[in-house]
Amino acid sequence: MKLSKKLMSRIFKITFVLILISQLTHAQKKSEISLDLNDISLKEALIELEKASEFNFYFEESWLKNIRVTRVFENSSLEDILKELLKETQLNYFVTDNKVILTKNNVIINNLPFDYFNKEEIETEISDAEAKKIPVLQKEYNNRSIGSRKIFSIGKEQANSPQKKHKLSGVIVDRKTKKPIENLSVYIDGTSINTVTNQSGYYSLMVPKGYHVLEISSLSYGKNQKQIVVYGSGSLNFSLKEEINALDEIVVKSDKDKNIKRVAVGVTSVDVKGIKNIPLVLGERDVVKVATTMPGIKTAGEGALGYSVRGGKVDQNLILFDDAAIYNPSHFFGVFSAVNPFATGSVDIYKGSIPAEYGGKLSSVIDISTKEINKKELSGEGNIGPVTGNLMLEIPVVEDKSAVLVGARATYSNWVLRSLSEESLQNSKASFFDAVLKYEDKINEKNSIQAMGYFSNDKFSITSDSIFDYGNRLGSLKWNHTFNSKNSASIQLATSQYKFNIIFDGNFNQNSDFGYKINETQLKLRAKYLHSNEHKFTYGLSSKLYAIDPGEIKPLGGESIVTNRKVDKEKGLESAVYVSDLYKVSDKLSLDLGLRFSMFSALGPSMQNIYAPNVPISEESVVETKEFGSNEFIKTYGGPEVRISARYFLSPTSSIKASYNNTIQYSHLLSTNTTASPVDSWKLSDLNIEPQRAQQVSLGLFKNSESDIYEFSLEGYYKKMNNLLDFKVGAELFLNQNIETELLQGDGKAYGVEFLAKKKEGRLNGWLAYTYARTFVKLDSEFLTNRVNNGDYFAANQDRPHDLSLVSNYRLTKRYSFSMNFSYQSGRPITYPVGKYFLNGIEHVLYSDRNKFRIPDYYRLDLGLNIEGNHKNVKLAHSFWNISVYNVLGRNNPFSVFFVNEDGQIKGYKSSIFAIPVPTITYNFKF
Amino acid sequence: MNFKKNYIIICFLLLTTMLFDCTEPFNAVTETFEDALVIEATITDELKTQEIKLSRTIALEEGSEPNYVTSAQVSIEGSNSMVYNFEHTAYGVYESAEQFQAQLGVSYKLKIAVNGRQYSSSTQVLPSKVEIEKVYGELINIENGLGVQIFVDSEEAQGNANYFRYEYEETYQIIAKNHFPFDLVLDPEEWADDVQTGLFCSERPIWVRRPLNEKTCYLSDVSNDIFVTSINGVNESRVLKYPIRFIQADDHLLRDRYSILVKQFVQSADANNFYKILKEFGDDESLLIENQPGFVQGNIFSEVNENEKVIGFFDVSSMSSKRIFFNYKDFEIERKPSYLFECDEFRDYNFGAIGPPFTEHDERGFLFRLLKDHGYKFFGQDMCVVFIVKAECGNCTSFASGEKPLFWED
Repeated sequence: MKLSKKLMSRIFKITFVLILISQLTHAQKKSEISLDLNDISLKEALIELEKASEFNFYFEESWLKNIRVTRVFENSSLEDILKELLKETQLNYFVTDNKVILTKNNVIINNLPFDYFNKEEIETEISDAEAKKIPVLQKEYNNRSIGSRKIFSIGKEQANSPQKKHKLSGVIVDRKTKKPIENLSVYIDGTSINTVTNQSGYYSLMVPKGYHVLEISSLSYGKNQKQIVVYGSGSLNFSLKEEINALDEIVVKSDKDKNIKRVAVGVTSVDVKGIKNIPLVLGERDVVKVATTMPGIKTAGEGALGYSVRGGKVDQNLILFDDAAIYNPSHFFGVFSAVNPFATGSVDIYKGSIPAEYGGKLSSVIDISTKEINKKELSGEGNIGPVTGNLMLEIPVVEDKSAVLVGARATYSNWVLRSLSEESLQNSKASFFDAVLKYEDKINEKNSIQAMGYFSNDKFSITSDSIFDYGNRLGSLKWNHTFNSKNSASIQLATSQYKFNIIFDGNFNQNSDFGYKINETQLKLRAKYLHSNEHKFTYGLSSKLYAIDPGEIKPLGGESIVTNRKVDKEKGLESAVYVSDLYKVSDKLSLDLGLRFSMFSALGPSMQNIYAPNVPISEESVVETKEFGSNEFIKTYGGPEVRISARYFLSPTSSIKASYNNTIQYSHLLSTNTTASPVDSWKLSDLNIEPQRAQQVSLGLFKNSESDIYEFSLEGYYKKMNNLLDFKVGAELFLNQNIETELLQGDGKAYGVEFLAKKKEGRLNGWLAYTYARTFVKLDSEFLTNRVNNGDYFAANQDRPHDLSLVSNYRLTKRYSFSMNFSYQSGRPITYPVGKYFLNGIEHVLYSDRNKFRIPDYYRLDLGLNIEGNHKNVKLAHSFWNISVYNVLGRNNPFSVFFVNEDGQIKGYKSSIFAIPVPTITYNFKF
Repeated sequence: MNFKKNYIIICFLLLTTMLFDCTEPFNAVTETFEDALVIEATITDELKTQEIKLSRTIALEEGSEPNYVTSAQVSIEGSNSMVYNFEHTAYGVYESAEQFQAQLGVSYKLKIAVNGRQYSSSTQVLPSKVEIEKVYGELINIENGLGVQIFVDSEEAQGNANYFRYEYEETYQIIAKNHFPFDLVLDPEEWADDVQTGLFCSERPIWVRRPLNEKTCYLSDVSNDIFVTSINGVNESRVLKYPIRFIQADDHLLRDRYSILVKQFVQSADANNFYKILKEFGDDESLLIENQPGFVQGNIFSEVNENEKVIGFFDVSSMSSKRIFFNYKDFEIERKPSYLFECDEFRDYNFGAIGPPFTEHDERGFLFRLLKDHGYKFFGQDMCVVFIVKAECGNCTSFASGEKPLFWED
């Protein structure tokens, strides 16, 4: 059953021989087989089939990795079953005598092509020697990933043929309508040979002798590849099926060598499906958290909100959930991510070259997309963990046309908190939930729409006198339209809201209710124009309207002496036009040339202070307060944003990439904390707050192993940032109308080297990521009060030089697999006391220069075990148990160190989130 | 309002009802010590000997004794060309050579020279004066339970008076719980005489009247927190119901008579900011949200090196104060608050038991030694049995002052 490598290679040889000789006859027995395969691995399926069919099967086990099948066959022929089973794979089969031989990519053709003898005449003569220069069949095809798995022979091999190139022509028709397709771009992969079909769908190319991949690409028909072996001139006619979501599928198909092929440098994609093999905290699968095990993406620590990408601050990431910006992607102070893992299809993080269509944030774009809904049958996934329960359902509305996805997740922690004997926590509350609803509809072949709604809410109350409440609300609507084979466009309308509320109830006359809200609505037009094989344009424009209600504090109850205070609403309009060209200069060199021009206008109504020049900005230095009417332009900022990247193939399996990027950010998170908090508010640029700007250059080296099983990358970057927002020590940001009086805007620089080694397949798989990165900030001013650390560069809060992650997974048997995470990070910089003193009889600490010290290094080991349910035929759902232990070593990783004045004396405290091993059991199911 | 401190501690839990103790105290040790001059300088509009205190920072692990600076030259210069010199008295305290008061319309500048280094402050002016209208207590129920909350109301503020800082000094009366007006006369000869037994048990020949001030004493405490508030953004131009002190209903402070003196300083915006930040740093009790700490810049600078850290704020304030007195009975507190110490148990000894010295039969010997050497107080007798109580129960001067303060009103 299992074949040795040696035998395999023999089979390959046989394969080629067979293609040439093609004299074997159809030897398949037409006996009928019935099988009931219920979510078992392909290998097991084949073994079942082997038993049922009395055939001996020959295949290489590693080809069948990660493929699962669920299907019922009744009285089907062996060939039909094989066809069905191998449909989604790159495998072909060949049936002979009592054997079934599986091959990868190659078809063992046992009859001649239909038009084999219908060849055009070959012209002129050529010497034998020259003919031998073009060996046709000595190429290795086995690692190619080609859509259609057949190899087409073109022309008749003629030993005396003098021609190096032969004419390949044919007609391409639509599979359904049988009408010729015009304007299809047809080309030979890896060459500059290309053409476009004419009105009657006819194409003709001059193709060198030998093995080639013929590629046909258009927006509506997607990308199609045909393997051809050219012996002489000939024709190849075929039909194509129109695909609406063709573009997405390209990504899937080319995924294997994406990291070397992709022109963009500094892109991290998270394998959403693979996440189940990673040990979890409290049983929660977390798509975004996995990203933080990749180089260049960090969190401030357990329980810290947000992500720092390549030395950027947490507010510098554009986090998109189906095109709508999500302001706070975490629950529970960052312990869980707010994105439902079951509803997530893909996560791409652009940390180096940000596509020109995105803007408004300095460091990165974290693009999270919901999964494409199963439109064939009802399916779902869910889990039950110690903290949350989660269920996601995919419900087809009209088969193959439209479907709905519903996902919801909620905690039952309130119940846990209440049942605790610890009295101080009896009154505590901590709960969250999130829900996502998505609708997809393929209206017709040219139009499709997608609508998404998302809601998340967190509520917690730690002391009995305060209730914190925060949440996101997103909605997006997208209409894709295809004009013709070269042009397509989509219109997106996305709106999002983030709000938080603090109710303070318990301190007699200080009771209050405070609320903050930010809204944004964006309309975006995104168009694609596939000019030619060399130039592919993406262009469009977007406009986003911000509305911030910075909030109001209201007295609660008659006793309260809190006065109603309010800060004026803010409004701003951020617009951009962008164009980018994916330019294929040569087979080896590709460029992605992008330019974005963005503009931001702060809009009235508003009151803006004008401050006296040459003195520190303060409430005392206001010389004039200007009033702006409704929608009046207060101040407009803007500028070009260049997004250029290049990829050069050093070899078929390695490439070098470089990029230059600049970005502008017009909205800012106001925070005086060392780490972000869910009750930090956002502020737009205005008369006194300039937008933040950044420039980044990156260089990367990418290498895949021959079989694409191993992936290596080494990237370096240097980034300069201007007008970064920081605040004076002890700044009062809460309901401060004149925030600029507390503001310090300074420069930053960041650089780093990122290394990633990944093994994608095999019993043992996983990755090792290491980053060395530094981030510095400089807050200088001619005024002493606006200077931090004497105006010198100092380590930023997110500066953690060393970062190492090892994520691995080992499959012991079909049912048992182990996983392990190890992560190590340099401690976060902190400002630590360098002495103490007494003032008015009270002890105080004297703090060091900002971020002069570091908390101890962070390291953590997690172990996990996945137990798959048994493979009984009749079962409601496929299920698996996940048992994991977070922080196995019980390392007490300090999160923060702080000093509190207790009865006039200073007491030091240190805190950590998970100081002991945390075991969890989660039950997951899928149907 | 500072919401941050209310985050306090967030710990996460498991179904196993396991609780993560996330915050633990630790003894902070200074890794790199930084020496800096600390200046405490608030002059007011009271005509008095003004004081300025100088010290230097000490390492975290050192005790609570400041490192006093005793050899500095300190002076204050007024824009009216007056110069007030200060002289060191003790413990880093420098007193003005003559009494003076800060005056409206004059700007003041502090000058200090320490070890040849010159320091000077920015100029400060006296803000308008605002009197305290009233200080009053109310019985309220808050998170910590029932208690008396003391509030301050100021009078209408005039001119540039916007920022207020408070200090208080509380004094409370203590009436010794087990005070008995008589003592036993501790004459060793008489006690050694066995003939005395009968006499002692039937009559009372060796009693003597105790001094009165051992019954009623007074203790004082000063505030050890920073109280700042402002009337910016408040509808009324005065401080209203500013909560300065909360005393639980069963706190011993309220057992007898209680008095609080509230001092109100009207200060500049910068001074307010300085104290406010100091307070916030001391209050930051959150686990997950940590305010960015840093050096709190005052208004005193080194004349040589601008970047040298100098701690403190030279503040010219107008000051007013008000004192109130009250008893727990003035509020609806039903139970008399308990005494400062546990005094429910008496010891009793048989005066007639005279066994071999230092054996359990020598009760009279024990009694003598407890009264004479261990501060125990006589609390009456029943025939031969003598009751005695611990010093803090019978004699309040053992822990407080028996002298009635001059301001005290009964």
